[in-house]
Amino acid sequence: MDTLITKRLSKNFGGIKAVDEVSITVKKKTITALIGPNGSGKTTLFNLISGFYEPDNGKVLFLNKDITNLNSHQIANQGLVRTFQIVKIFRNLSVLENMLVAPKRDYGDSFIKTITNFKKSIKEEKEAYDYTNDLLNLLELSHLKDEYAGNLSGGQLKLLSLGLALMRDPEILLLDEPVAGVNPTLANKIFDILINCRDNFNKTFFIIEHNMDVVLDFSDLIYVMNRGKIIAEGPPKEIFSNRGVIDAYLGVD
Amino acid sequence: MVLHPLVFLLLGIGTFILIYAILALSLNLQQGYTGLPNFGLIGFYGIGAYATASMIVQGINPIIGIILGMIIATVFGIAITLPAIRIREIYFAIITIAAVEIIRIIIRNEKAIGGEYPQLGIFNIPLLFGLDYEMHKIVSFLLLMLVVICIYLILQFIIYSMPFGRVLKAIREDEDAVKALGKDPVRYKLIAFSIGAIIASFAGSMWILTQRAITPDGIMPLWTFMIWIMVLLGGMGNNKGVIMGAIVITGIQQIVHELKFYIPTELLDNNQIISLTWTSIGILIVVVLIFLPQGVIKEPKICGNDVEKTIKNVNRGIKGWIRLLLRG
Repeated sequence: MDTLITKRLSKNFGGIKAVDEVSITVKKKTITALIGPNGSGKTTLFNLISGFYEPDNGKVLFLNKDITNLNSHQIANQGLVRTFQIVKIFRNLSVLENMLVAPKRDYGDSFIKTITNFKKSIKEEKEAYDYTNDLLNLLELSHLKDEYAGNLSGGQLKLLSLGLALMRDPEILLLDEPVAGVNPTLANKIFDILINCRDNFNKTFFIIEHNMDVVLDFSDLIYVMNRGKIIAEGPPKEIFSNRGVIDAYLGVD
Repeated sequence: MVLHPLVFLLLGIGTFILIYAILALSLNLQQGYTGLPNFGLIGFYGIGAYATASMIVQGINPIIGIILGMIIATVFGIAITLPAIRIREIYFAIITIAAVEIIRIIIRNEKAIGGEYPQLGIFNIPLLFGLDYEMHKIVSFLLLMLVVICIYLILQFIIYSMPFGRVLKAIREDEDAVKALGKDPVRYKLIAFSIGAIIASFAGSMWILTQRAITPDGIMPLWTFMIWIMVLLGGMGNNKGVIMGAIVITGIQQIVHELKFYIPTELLDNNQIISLTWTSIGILIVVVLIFLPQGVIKEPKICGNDVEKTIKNVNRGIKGWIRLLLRG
């Protein structure tokens, strides 16, 4: 089943075609990678899908629903959650509070409903708190629970932002360079967590990544972008022997 | 009953402090927690003050004036923030300052709102509950004390025990991240701004009831900056801190103001003493910003313990509720 489909999605910035008629399909329970040189439009594509930019043309379908014209927060509420290349977390809050901001709450999200159903909202809080503790254990961040998020190291920040996204229990997760600047051991650990989520919780991942080793090892399907266009798609082995991809991205040796 | 002059003086200073404390708490919710730099705070106070004053002058129950002020402040707050709420902080600040200047100028020139002599303001508001002057002072002080405590507890409850308060802080830290987590920052900001506007308007109503006069000069932008100084001094994002800021700044102002009776005019005349107030506050704020950029009291960090306490206390009946309310 297809979780995410874009149809001829386009975005221009002035005269530059940042994303040019991109049509991709992300299948359920896969880790799909998006690679390409800097400035090829990968992050712009993510911004278009997640509602941070409005596309000039084309459509985004998520679980067969048209989400093209929804706001970013509405899209996130449908179960499509993204992370950012430059980690966006809440620096002056504790790690625990960061995590507790994330979950979708039936009562706690509304001011009036929290006051009128305070006990239920606290029940939600308890569930969220227990889930947070489990997730922090999984991400090996539980010892930093009460630390300011701003004091975390680069790799830990990546883990925390992944944790924030997982708190929402999303259908599909769009990760923008989840292991950039992360040491190989931690990078492997992050991808182990993703694979665990894919296999045991039926999650889908769409990932921008420059680290070819992990892309080769862990992804099920790769899209290659160059100058706003998709120039190749296929399983990792095929992609890495594709002449066009080697010219555009990997370099000619 | 004859009060000792010193008690009388302290009661007067106390009422000033408490009214400023309400305004500082309101600004702290908007700027300290949500990151909405409201440079028009005093305008919302003016709305409350004038709504209450004109109702009293027309012989209508002041409670109607208070409620009317709150409603107008909320509507006005939403009207100016809705178009401005998506833009960056500094532009938001400019829009708020411009909007409330419009209010001040209208009040200054419109007889229907500003009384018979709008430039002079509204005065001759009767004493509270028909009390005599001294009892009025005492009751005013106690009433304001009660109001400040209630507002403080409500705000602490929003920040500590409601997920809503946590999202406000998150919006201050990073709005895009909040959007990516499926929360609509605009909605949260509007609610936070409206609560702040209601509190500020209430402060204006309380001013009328206790001080019994308002002039258009009382809602000059200068007073907004005074409240900003209180919040900066006490510590943004800390309700205790901003109350302390109100005590210190208003205290300095009033004490220097009193000094004029004891300093010979040959040494310093009245204007020089007032300038001395501003100079001392200016020096204080510079010192604080250099050595304690986060204010005297930092924003409290909420840890696992705090969340566990909330969860536990809810199931402990009334005792737990009291503990929840009195926390922080």
